Amino acid sequence: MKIIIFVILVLLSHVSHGANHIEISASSIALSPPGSGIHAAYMTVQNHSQHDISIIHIESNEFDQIEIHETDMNGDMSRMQHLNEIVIPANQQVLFSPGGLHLMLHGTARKFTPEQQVLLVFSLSDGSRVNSNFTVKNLADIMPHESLNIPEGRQSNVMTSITVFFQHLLPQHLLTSVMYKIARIKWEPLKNFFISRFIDHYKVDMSIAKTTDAKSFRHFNAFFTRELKTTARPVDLAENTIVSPVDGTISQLGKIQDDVLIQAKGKNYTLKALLGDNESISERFENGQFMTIYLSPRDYHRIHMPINGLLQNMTHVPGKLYSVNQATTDNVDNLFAINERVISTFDTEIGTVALIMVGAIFVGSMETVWAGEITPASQRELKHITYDDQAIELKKGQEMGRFNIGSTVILLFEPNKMKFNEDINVNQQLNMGSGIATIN
Amino acid sequence: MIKKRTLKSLVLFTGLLIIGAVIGLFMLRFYSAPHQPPEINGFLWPNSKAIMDFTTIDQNGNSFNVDDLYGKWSLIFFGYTHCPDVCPISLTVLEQFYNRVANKDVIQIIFVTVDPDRDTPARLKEYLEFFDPGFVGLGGTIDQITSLTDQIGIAYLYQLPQSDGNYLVDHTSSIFLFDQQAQLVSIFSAPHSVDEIYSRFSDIQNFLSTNK
Repeated sequence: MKIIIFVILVLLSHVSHGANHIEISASSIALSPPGSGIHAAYMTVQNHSQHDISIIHIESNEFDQIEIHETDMNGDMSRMQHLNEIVIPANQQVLFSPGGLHLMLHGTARKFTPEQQVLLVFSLSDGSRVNSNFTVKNLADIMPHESLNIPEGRQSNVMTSITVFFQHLLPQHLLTSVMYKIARIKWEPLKNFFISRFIDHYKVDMSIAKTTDAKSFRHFNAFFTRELKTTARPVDLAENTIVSPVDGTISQLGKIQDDVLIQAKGKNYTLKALLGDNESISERFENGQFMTIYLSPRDYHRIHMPINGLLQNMTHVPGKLYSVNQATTDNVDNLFAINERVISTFDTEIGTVALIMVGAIFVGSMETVWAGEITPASQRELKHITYDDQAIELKKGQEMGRFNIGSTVILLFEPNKMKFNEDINVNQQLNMGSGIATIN
Repeated sequence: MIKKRTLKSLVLFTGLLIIGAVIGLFMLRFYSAPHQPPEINGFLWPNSKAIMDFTTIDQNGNSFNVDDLYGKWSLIFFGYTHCPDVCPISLTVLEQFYNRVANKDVIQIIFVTVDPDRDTPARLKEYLEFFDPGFVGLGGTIDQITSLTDQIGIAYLYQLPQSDGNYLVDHTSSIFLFDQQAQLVSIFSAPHSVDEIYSRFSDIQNFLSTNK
C-alpha cells in the first residue's frame, strides 16, 4: 500500500513539476554504520520564487520515516532538534550539511552501498511536490573539506584509480590527475624527496615561508601552496593603489584593443573567448586595461585581492573540452582561451574588476576562498555562479584563492578607471601586495 | 606534437615516481627529522588529577577500567549509535586522525556510549568496525558509564521518546584527551578538524614528553 501511495506521489509531482520553484541539489545520504538503521541526508535547497516556501513533509519508499533535524550546539552539548517544517526564504537557499541541518531517515531494512540512488519526495507548503534523487556516499565525501583537510578524500584505492584512468582518456586529463595524486602523496620519504628536490631545483626561498621546515608539510601540494610569514608581503594600503595579487613576473600588460588582448608577440586573444563567451561581462572591459602575470614554480601560490571588492560571480571554464563559439575564435590564437580557468568578477570602486586564474597543463586544480576547490577534469561543462545575493566582501590583500600547481593570473579593468604605474614593465618581478597601478 | 610531448612527460613522470620511490626507501633509513619547539596554540589542563577507578565493558565483553588508560594516549568521545549526525562526523574525523598517526601503539580512540540500554557490546562492535576495528567501544550499565562521566564532569540528557519509541540523547560533542598517566590534558571542542586535532595532539605530546 505504502508503495502504491508513493508511486502516485511521484507521478503527481512530475505533473506539477512545471510549477516548482524549489530546486534540490547536492543531495546525498551518508552511509551509516551497519545496524543503526538511521541515516542522515544532506542537500542544498534553493527557492527561486518570490515567496517563502516551506518543506512540510518528506517521503521515500525506502524509509518508514523522514524528519528534518537540526544539530544545535549549546556550549559543547549537542542537541538534536526535530523541526516540523523548514522555511526556504524567497530567492534564497538553505544548506543541509554535516553538523547542522539534516534529514534523519529511519526504518529501513536495506543495506546501502555508495553510489546507490534513493528517491525522496518533498511536499511543499504551496501544495506542490519536488522529487530528488539522493546518492548514497561515504560521510567523509560529504563533510566539509576543512574538517577533514583532504580534498583527496576519496582516498586512492586501486579500483578508483583504474576508473579514473579510463575516465580520462585524454592524455591531458590523465596527466593532470596523475599529477594531482602525486602532489598529494603523504608517504614521508617520497613527499620529502619531491619537496627537497623542488626547493633545490627552483631555488625556493623558504626563509620567507611561515613554515620553514620543508619536511613538516603534509604533502607536496601543501608545500606548493605554503603560506608566507605575515611580514613577508606587506600590502600597500594607500587608498588609491591597486596591488599585485600574486608573486610573479609580468608577461604582458596594456590596453585592451576593442576586445583583443595581446598575449605574446603577434598572438592575440579575445575577451569573449577568454571569458567563456560571456558577453555581459566581456563588454565591460572593451578598451580597458589588462595585466598578465606568470607565476613560476618557485613562487608563492596564493592569490590575494588587488583592491577591495564585492564578489559578483565566478565562472569555471573547464578548458579544452569546452568548445568556444566559432565566431569568437576566428583568426585568433587562443592559447589562454583554451586553458582551464576560473574567472571571478568583483564590484569595486573602479567598476568591475576581473581576476582570472588560468591553469597550465598539469594544473591539478584551483581554489577560491568562497567556493573551495574547483574540481577539474571530471566536470566538463561551463559553470557560472552568481554571488550577487551573498555579500562576499574581500579586502585588498586578503587571500582570494590558490593554485594547486599552476600558472597565470590575468587582471582586467574597465576603461579610464586606473593607470598602471610608470615603473611597471613587462618581465618585471612582482611581489604580492606591492603597488602596480593607481586609481584615476 | 602535443600528444608526443605529453606521452613523453608521462613516461618521465612514471620513471620519476619509481626512482623517487626507490630513493625514498633509502632515505627513510637515514631520516630522523629534528623537531622544532612547538608554537603556542593551545592550553593544557595544569596538574590535572589522574582519573580514579571506573569499570566499563568493552565491545568484546571484557572489562575496561582505569588501568587500561595507563600507558597510552586516549582520545575519548561520548555518543550513541542511534545518533545520526554528530557522532558519525566525529568518528570520521577521529578515523582520519588515527590513519594519520604514525605510531598507533601509543594511542587509543575510545567511544563511550551514553545510551548503554540500546548500545550493547555487540552493537558497539559492529558500529565501530565501520570506522576502525582498532577503536575501543565502552558500555555497561548506566552506573558504570556514570562512574566515568561523573569524573570528567560531562552530562547527557535523554529526550522524550517519539511515537515509534525511538529517542534522541543530548551529549557533549567534545573530544577529551588523556595522557599516558590517565590525566585529562586537553579538550577539543566541535566542530572538529583532523588537522587541528592532529597538530594540537602532536604539540601536546611533544611538549609533555620534553618537559617532564
